[in-house]
Amino acid sequence: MEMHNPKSMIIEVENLSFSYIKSGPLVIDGLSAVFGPGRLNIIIGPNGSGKSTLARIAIGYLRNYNGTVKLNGDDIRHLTVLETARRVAFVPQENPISAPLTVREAVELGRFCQLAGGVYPSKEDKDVVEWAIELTGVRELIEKRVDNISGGEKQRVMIARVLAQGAGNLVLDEPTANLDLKYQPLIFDLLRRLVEKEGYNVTAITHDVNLASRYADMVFLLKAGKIFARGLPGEVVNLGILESAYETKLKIVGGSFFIPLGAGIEGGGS
Amino acid sequence: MKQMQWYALAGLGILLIIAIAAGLLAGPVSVRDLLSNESLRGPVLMQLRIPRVILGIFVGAALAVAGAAFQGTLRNPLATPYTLGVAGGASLGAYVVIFVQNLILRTRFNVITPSWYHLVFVPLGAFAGGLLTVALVYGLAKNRGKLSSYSLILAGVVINFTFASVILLLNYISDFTQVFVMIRWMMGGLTIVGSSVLYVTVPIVVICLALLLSAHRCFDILAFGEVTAHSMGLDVERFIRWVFIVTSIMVGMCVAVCGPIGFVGLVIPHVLRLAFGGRHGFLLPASMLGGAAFLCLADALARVILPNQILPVGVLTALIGGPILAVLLLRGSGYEVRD
Repeated sequence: MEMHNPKSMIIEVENLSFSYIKSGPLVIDGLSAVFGPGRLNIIIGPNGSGKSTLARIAIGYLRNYNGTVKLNGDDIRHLTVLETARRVAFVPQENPISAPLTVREAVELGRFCQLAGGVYPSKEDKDVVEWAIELTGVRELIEKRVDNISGGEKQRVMIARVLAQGAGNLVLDEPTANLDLKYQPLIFDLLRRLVEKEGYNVTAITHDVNLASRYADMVFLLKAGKIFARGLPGEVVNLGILESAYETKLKIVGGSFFIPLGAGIEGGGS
Repeated sequence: MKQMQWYALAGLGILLIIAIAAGLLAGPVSVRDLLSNESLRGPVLMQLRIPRVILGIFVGAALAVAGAAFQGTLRNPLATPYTLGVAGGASLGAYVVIFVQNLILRTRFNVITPSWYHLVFVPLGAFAGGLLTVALVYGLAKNRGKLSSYSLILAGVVINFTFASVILLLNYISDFTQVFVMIRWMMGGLTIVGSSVLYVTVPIVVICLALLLSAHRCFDILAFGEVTAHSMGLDVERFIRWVFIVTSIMVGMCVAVCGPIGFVGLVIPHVLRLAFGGRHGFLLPASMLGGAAFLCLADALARVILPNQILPVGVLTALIGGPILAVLLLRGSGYEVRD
């Protein structure tokens, strides 16, 4: 349906610095990274390392940063809110929807930036919505209200919404944070499929280093607003790097599972 | 779901027709007298009841849609133009006009103001007061950083309390007759004679309603929260500012003509949202019909509830609206109030 050219779907960040307060502490500190093109990028890192802030800058929400952010090659500063929305879509960590919308309505609203002031959705708009509903497997939910479905269902609905948006870059902030064991791989399987079959460039933040090592094309490990390590999953998600990034002792279980032991690496405790 | 919303709109339309009929028939002059006495029919219908019903329709529609718009943008059922200070500011504006006439022009300078002074300057003062207050609330809230519903409501509450005490002060230092004029204005009513007021009010309300209704998708988008709404292509801050300007002009106009008529903007959209769902493509037109019907019915009731007296409709809407709101609060708000 909405095939994107995976080669041109890319988010580039150059020498990025950001602080929430004027001349306050830098949350992002001279960060440069290239997310994509056409990959499943996974960002991991300790709490407060600037992951969510980076996501909010990359979708054009936070504006007063230093440095450059490019979406598909164009500086985000030169794009309007609508143009930005056509290039990058976002799934936030929590999805409090403050109106009793139905699932179908929520997905249809994803089309907003493509309607561009038009009154009625076109045939194409409707087709894209159907395609997104089909691909995410939420067909049986469409008449339910979004406040009456489970967390895992809601997350799939939110992914359907961003697919309807028609942007080639997807940014997801902890898409599996509140989901149970069954749904976590389900969501990441879906993201993998979007990258491989539909040409999306997906960037997801997660706390789960095991999911990152299993699903990512590229892993970015953030610490204190900088890239601490980047590379293929095997290069980044390993004992030495993780222990020094998270400042805690870890143990490998069953070959590749990382279990925190609960004590700081310098004996500082948790 | 969709079908139920169509039924709801149809039902509200029928209710509005009933309300118009009631508005034309109810009042101190009975239906029988109206039918039998031709010399009474003309003046009562043309000069009093028809203008009054038209005013009720448009003011009711405006207040309810404005309430729906504010509740939608700020994602809080308590956020209405009234809670954000439009009514408080308009009242103060009207008070200042009355006060100036009495204490300064008449007492100090012995100026005898023409009889149309109140008719013209009270609405103007109210309109200006309402708009200035909204600008002030907006500025206060903005000053705290990024505009949020929390800071707006907080700023509105602060302004409302402050203005209420200024009004008390003006009441205290004014003379008896002036206080009566002021309090009567504060009750809010649809009392107009002739149709001249309508030529200004109706076009402004119609334009503002059309603008707000045409933006129904933007209100829907905001339900996803500010960050997500932005990522979906809506310039959130600009949109909220735009909603503020349009609704304030519309509500300021209504308050200027009718005084502060409470609870229509708070209760009507809230009830409709809880009952039929939150999509604004439905909610805004439904509020328009519902608000118009509610205010017309309430005004018809206000004309017959006391023998040989016409109760100000603002008193009645508050009496009806208060308990409804209490029930709603006990049953949950229909919003997840979160930023």
